[in-house]
Amino acid sequence: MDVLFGDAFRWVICIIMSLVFSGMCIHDLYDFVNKL
Amino acid sequence: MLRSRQNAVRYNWGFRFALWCSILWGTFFVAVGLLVRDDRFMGVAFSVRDSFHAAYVIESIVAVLIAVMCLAWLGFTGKLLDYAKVMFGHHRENHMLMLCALFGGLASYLSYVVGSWVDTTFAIGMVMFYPILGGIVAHLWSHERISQRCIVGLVFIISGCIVLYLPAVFGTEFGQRVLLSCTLGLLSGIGWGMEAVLASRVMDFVDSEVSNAVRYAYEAILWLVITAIVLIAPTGVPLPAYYAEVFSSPTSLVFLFFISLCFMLNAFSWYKSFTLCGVAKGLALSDLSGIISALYGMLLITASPSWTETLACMIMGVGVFIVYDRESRTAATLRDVDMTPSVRRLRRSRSTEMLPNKVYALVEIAEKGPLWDYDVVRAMESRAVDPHRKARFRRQIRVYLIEASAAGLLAPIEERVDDGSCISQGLLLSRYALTEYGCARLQNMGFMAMAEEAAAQPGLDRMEKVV
Repeated sequence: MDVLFGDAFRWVICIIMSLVFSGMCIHDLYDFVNKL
Repeated sequence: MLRSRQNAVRYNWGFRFALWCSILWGTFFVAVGLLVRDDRFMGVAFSVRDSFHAAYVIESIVAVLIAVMCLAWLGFTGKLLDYAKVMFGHHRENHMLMLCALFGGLASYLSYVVGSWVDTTFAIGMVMFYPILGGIVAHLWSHERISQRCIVGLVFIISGCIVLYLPAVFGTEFGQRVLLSCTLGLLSGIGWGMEAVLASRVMDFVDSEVSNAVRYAYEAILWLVITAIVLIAPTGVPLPAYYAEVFSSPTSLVFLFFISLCFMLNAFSWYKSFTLCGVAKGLALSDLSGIISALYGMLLITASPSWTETLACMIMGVGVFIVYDRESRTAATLRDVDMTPSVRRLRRSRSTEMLPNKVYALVEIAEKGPLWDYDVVRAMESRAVDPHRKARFRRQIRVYLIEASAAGLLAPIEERVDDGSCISQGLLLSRYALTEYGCARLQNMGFMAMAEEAAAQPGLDRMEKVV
C-alpha cells in the first residue's frame, strides 16, 4: 500500500489532474469569445 | 427575448469560470501541499520559522513563472500590445493593478505560509470568509447588486466553511499554531477580497487577461526586488539554500511549473467571472475550492473525510445552488447604477495610441454618441495586431462591449440579429449609448474630460479631438 500510495503516485496523479483541468480551462478561455 | 438569452449566456459563463477557478485553486494548492508535506520542503525537514522562507521561495518562483506564462498567453491571443499600453501607461488603472499585486501577492504568500506550516486545506478554509468582504466592498464602492437570495447563499457557504474548519480550530491537533495561522488566514482573505474589488474596477476598462498579466508582472518585480535585497544585504536569511534546493531538483521545478500553470489559469478564470457574474458571486463560487481540496485529499489518500467534512460539503453545495439565482441570470446589469444614456459632451484626455482596446471602444461611443457594436468594430479594425485573426478580434471587441454593458457603463438602446453582413450570422447586434455612470467613470479614470471644462484647464492642449 505504501508503494501504491507513496509520494510518486500522488505526484503523478496531481500532475495528470493539473494537465487535464488546465487543458479544459485553456479551451474555455480561448473559446469563450466565440460563444458569447 | 434575445437580450435576456444573451444575459443568461453571459451569466452562465461567469459561473463556469468561477467553477474553473475553484477547481484549479484546489488543484494547485494540493500540489503545494505535496511539495511541503509533513513539515518537509522537498523532503528536507523544516521548522515553523523555515515555513516563512519555504513559502517565500515558492511564492517568488511561482510569481515570476506566471508573469512569463501570461506573456506567452497574451502573445497567443494577440493582446501583447494592450499589455504594453497598460504596463507602461503610468495611469490610474496601472496604479490600481500595482495595488492588486500588493494585496494579492501578500495574500498568496500568507496562504503558502499557512499551507506549508499547518495544512493546505486549512489554508484554503481560513480565507473562505472573503466573499462577504468582497461583496460588501463591491456593493458599497461599485454599487454591485446583491440580492437577498445571494446573501442567503453566501451565508450557507460560509456556514459550510465554519462546519468544515470548526474541529480544526477548537481541536487540539494544531495546538498553538492555530491562533497565528488564523490571523495569517484572516489577513490573506482580506488581501484576496481587496484584490478582487480593485480588479473588477480596473476590468471595466482593461481586458481581464491583460489586467492579470500586468498584475503578475508587478508581483514578480516586487518579489525579485525583495529577493535581491535579502541576497545582497547581510540578513542571515537562508534563502540561497532554499533556492539551491529547488533549482537542483528537476521534480520540484516540474511541480512548480504545474503549480504556476494552474495558478495562472485560476487567476484568469477568477478575474473573468467578476466581469460576467459579479464580484460577490465569483468569490462565493471560488470558495468551492475547499470541497475540491477535500476531494483531492480523498483521492490521494492524504486525508480521509470526517462526517463534519461531508456535512460541510453538502451545506456549501446547497449554498452554490442558492447563489445561482435564476432571476438575476437575465438581469441586464450587475450594478445598481444610473443607466440613463448620457448627453454630456466629452473629449479625450489621452493619446489614442496609448488607449487599451476595451477603453478605446468606450471612448468611441463617448465621443460619437450611440453606436452599433459593428460600427465600433469597424472603427477599431486597424488596431488588430494579427491581420489573419480579424474575425476573433471583431468578436473580442463585441465581448468587451457586452462586459461594459453588464458593468453599467453602456446601455443597449436598440438590437437586431446579424444577417451575416456585420460580424457573424446569427449574433445579437446592439446599439450602445454611454450611461451617466459610464460617463462619470470615464472622467474619474482620466480617459475623458468634459468638453467645456477641459478647454479651461491648463496642460490639455495635447488633446486630439473635441466633440
